[in-house]
Amino acid sequence: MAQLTCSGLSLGYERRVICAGLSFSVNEGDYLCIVGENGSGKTTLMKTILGLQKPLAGSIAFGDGLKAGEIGYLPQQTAAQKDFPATVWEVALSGCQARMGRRPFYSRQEKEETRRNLARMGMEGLAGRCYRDLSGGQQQRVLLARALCATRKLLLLDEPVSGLDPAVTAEMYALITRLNREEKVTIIMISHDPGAVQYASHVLHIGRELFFGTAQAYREKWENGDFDFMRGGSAL
Amino acid sequence: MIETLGMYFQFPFVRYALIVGVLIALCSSLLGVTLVLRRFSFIGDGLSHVAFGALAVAGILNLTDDMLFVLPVTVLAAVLLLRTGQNTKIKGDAAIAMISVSALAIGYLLMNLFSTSTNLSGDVCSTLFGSTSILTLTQGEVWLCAVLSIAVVALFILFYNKLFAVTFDEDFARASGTRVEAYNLLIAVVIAVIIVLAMNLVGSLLISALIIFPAMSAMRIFRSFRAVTLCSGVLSVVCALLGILISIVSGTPVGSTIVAVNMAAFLLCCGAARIQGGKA
Amino acid sequence: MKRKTFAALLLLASLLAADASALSLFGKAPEKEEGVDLDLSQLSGTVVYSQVYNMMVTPQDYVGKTIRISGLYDVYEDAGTGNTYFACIIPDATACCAQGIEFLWAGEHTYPDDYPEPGCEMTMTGRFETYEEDGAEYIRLADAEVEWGEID
Repeated sequence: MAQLTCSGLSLGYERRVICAGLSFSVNEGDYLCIVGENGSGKTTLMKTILGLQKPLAGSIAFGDGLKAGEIGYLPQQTAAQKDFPATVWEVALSGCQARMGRRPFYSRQEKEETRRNLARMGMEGLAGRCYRDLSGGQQQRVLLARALCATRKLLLLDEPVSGLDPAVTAEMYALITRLNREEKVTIIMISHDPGAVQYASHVLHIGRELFFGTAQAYREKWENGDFDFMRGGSAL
Repeated sequence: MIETLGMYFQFPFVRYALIVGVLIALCSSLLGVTLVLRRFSFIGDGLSHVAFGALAVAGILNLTDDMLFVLPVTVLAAVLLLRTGQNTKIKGDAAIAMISVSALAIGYLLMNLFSTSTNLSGDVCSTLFGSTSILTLTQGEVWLCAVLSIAVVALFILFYNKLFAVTFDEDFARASGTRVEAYNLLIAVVIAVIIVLAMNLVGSLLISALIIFPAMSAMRIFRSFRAVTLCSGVLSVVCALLGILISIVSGTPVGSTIVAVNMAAFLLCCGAARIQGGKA
Repeated sequence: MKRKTFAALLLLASLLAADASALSLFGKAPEKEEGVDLDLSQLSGTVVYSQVYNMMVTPQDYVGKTIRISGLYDVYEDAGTGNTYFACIIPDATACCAQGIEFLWAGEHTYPDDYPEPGCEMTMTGRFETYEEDGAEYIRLADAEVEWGEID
């Protein structure tokens, strides 16, 4: 049984359909990269998986011990966070929110887990620092630690490298790959960066043309120039 | 100086004013941090104008207890405002501006047309600027203010962690199963309660100062959410105490004095931040 | 961390200093005069206004007490009944609200010859009492000793 199964999804707002007939599944330990042009519905798909938005048609099923709400989510940064007074510790700890239910305060276990997750990201030394004073890459690591506090199984990353310089981008990809390979965390990553595909095990391409398969099949198809949109000579 | 103060403390209404003023200042500053960080600073202003309009209507209807009418109306307006903030069709700030000026205009119009009071300008003025209303509370009002403020502080402590999560990243909180809408509703209701309480302290035109200034001042100096929240609470209480004492001793209007002290504190915090930054 | 603590202390200290200087400007404790239960003549406008408001709301707490208060003299003639009322007006700090306390000047005085122009500053000491007229309750200071002009 797959952790996440989407069948016959139609995405969009009100009556405007952005993307229809989307079916794919994600198994434990997979590294799925979702690519597509701007406006192709990547963000809408992500919001639908997270349950923030209802699909126009089709269904999303969770299995293999994964429940809705157990997804660790790494959102794109908002403008408000740029000058938000909060320490690294406070931000990371808030990832434990999901498990607390109605309980108002954090337990010792949750604090311990937060400490561990910050250490996994190499950020334990900066726990007392102010979030807004960190570099872009460090901020992403903190948010990743927070996402790990919310899940042990599946991470959903929304453009994790946008705005980062090439060296930090490579570091970030390495970190994500390590989480996937060594700690068996399932990864779903949204990216407009074609380079992101090389780390993935599976690729979902949405847009004018739908593709779902292994990363290898995607690369072969790519190299053969089998995509319709490539024939138009569009620069990518 | 202590003797002078001692003389003023003989009056029970001075003691009431200090207690209620401190409680209201504490509540407004705690919620202020969340509002400022979520870019909702203007909501206080909008709601206070709605409360003014509601008070005008209550006056015309000759209600014996204005609070019972003003409080629900303001709560309703707060819920609507927070909801339009998420709606993309009318931008949040424009909606707030529209509602607030409409309420102000209609309130004043109704008071002018139908008021039974002989001192119309006095009524309007004391509602807008607070005047001495904090010093002329009845014992029942003092109790109501005290109970509501303590409830607000208790709620804030209980939901402190959730509030942080919702304030820092609404999408993440929602994705991890937090019922963001429920908390937004809670915030809206609490803000409305604070606004109605604070009308007694500083009047409806000056309420946003009470909400925004302590949070902004605290953010100059501190860099963690907890420290900002604590500092903003302490600052607000100190400023309110000072403001009330100064206005009592020197006979200045209570509301504007409190706001002036808050302004001074903000400038001091800016200065302190500069010294801090210069050394770092 | 130390720098933060320093900044916070600095802030607190300057706030307290501002407080002290503001208060010492007005710090002058008045002596209580013999036979006066409540002396409002030396208090700030804000407090006097609030106190008068309280007297209006709960007059029963003040009946029989001797009260000293300063304000502006005013007179009101009721055209319907021909009665003349004398009052001491106390404005509030925002100067948009004012309250008047009616008084009866002790001794033999004729209006308008013995009374000054309305708007004159006055300080009076009198006994607080309530009375009824046309079914409504009013308050006033009876047997009031009045000093005209500014009192220091």
